Amino acid sequence: MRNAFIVGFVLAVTAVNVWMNWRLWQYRQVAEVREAPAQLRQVERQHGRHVIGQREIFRPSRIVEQARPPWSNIESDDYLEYAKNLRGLGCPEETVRNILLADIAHNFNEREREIWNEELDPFWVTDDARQDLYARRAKQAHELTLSKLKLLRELFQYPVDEGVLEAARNMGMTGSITRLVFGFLDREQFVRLYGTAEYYTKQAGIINESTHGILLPGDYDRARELREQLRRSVGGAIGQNGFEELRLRHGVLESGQPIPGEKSGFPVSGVELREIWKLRTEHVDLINELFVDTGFEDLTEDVAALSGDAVEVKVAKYLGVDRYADYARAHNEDFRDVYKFVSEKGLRQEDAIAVFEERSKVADEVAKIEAAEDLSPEESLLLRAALKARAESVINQRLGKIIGEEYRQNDGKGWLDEIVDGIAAKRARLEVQAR
Amino acid sequence: MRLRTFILTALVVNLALLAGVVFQFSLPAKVVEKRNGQVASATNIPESTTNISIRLVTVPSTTKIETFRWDDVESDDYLQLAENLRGIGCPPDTVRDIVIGRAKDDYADQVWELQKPMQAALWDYLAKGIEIDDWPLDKQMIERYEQLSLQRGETMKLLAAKLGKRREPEDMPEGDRWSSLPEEMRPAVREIYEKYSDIRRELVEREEVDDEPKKVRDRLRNLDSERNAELRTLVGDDRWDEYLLRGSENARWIRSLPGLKVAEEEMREFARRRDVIDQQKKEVAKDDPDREQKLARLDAQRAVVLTEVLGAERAGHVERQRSTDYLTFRNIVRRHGLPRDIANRLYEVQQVAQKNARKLMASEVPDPELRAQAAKAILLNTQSEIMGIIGEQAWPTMQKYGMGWYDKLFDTE
Repeated sequence: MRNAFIVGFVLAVTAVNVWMNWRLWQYRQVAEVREAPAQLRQVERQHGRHVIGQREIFRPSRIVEQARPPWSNIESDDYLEYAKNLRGLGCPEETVRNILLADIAHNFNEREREIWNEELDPFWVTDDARQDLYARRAKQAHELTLSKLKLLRELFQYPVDEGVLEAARNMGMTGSITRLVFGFLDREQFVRLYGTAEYYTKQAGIINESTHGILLPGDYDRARELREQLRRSVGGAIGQNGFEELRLRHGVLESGQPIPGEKSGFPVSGVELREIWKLRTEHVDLINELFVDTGFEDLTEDVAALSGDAVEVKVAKYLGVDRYADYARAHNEDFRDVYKFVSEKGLRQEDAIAVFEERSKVADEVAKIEAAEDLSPEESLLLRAALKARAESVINQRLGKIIGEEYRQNDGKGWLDEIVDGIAAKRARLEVQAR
Repeated sequence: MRLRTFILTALVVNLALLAGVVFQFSLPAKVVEKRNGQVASATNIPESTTNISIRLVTVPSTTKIETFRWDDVESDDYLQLAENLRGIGCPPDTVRDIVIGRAKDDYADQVWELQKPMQAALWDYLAKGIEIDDWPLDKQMIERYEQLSLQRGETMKLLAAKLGKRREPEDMPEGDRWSSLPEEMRPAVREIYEKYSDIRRELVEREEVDDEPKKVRDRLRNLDSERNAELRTLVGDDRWDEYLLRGSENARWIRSLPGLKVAEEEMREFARRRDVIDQQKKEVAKDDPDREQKLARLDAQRAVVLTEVLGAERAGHVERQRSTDYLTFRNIVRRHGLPRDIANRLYEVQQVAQKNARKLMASEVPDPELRAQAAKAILLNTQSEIMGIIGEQAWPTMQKYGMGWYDKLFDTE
């Protein structure tokens, strides 16, 4: 029994040793195949992999005579090698990026210029021939751009280009807006986020540009694929919370409306406002919007749309009836005007609401007068005058005689005069005069 | 005894196998490529599971790379950093990329950090209804921002002066007009353009400070003529005539007609003849008593040039180029890789349908039902013809992009 165990053990050890030798030998044979350049390219193509653009399109734009040792030893005809050498020397990652992005951008611009150079084009050719030439050039330019995007991604393991870096460095107005919307992120996070968005949307833009504006179902499939890749990548770049914050801020910026708040008669805390904006924008698919902007308008069909009313119901439920009324009024430009006047005079919000409601009522009644076909011009004018008098009375009552007079002569003059001097009113007056 | 022999044999065999393992591990990386006399070896990059390809990495020599560490060249002073980089043989363009990139990043980092405290208050500011322009930014922060902007501007100016600019190749001015120029003449033509461009820049600068701005303005006005005279002398009269012809509006127009087959000589002839007439029109004096008649006669001559050069049929197709629908047809046809002639046929069907629709609408058929039937017949006939021309595969695309005009054929009916 003991002997059998020893024999088994020895055999097992021998088997392991044999296996290790066999695997190492096998590995070396496979490695040999992989390492041969010709074989490598074949393998890559067979698997449909991207052969890095630089080998065929980009090479560092070095002028060999300008570099001297030891620097010339780290330069290479291969960007990946160049990056590896720089990193190997302890060069900071930002510096590696600055060196390579500037070099690749210069290289790219030169290649692009060559593609679009018309200096040697035949002049006397038909429009069709020129369009064909343009299409060929556009195709080359697109391939060049795609190669650049992929090369940069491979160099840094995340998408970035010189435009993205410049956006993150901009000191002007655009830079201020960028810092306002994205400032909750670190600058490096912004670079990664923006670079990622650019990486996918530029590819979608290229698809669109190559179609002469005629998008086929296959183009939409490719755009959708890119959109979903971007969706996955953005989450990885700034996390779910970061993306949520970004959506809210983008919503504020895109709304184009004044934000309801204390100055428009809707006292609200920052936390509450953020929650309201969350309700207002949670149905917005920011990633999809980026792709719609690249020309794929119909992509929105994929996204379940939430009607404006449904959003308002959610906000109303959150705020309660009274506060929702304040919130809704704060969106109205007419109310904001009267509220501004009233609050500057130190009067109460109720007074502003009363004047605003009177103005709304008057507007409804004027519309009814204008629609009533059985009213004679004289009757119409009479009713309008009565409405104006009523409105003035409400103003005096709520704002007091002196402030009311000031309001009637300044901020309120326009809408009050409109009651009796609107186009329909003027027409009625002319008719009366003609009779 | 037999067991001992077995164990000893196994021990020898295992030792031999272990030696084999050690030997295989200790083998150097395989030499796979020799280029420019340098030995390249493969790194042990594992096959990637992502779409990043396995690649060969060619290294000139590991020992050569290790001749300096990056820390040796680092400096907080931009100019010192530039100097250190030059010292290790770094080329001027790369020095510029490193130093200017560093400076920009340094300022951007500071400005980005500067606004961080504001981020926490963002929703509170919004809730207060304060416009972004009126946000109560800390005075110190604004001062610091302005200071940084100013410093950045000065730094960039200084670095640009010390490090120079990257040489960017320039395109040949008016390149397409000179495309037939022999290669050996190009540098001289370029030089003339550059010379006059420098003179112009100088004059514009002088114009603001000069005591005699009129003189400067006169020179500026004559500058193009001077340059052209010099160019003409250089290239000779024939090439100069060709350059002028290529610049004419008529040449540009005939070249821009989509779907029209025109030979090179026809284009030249058209442009030449129309240019002559246009010149004659310009020369009719404003106070000439017969001005109107002369201009009308020249316009009539001008109008027939196209027909005379191309013949009536091709000249008749020129109308197409004004149609945006025709351009859409062309794009649809191109997108589906169909012969170009199909766009022309679609345009013809459209023209017939529109003509028939107009005719029907102008007719005095009193019975609305009869009119509706006639309209329906035109629509069905047109649709069937289009489907026949464009084919089943491209029909959905045609419906999506190219049938807007079809839906409006009887808009007023």
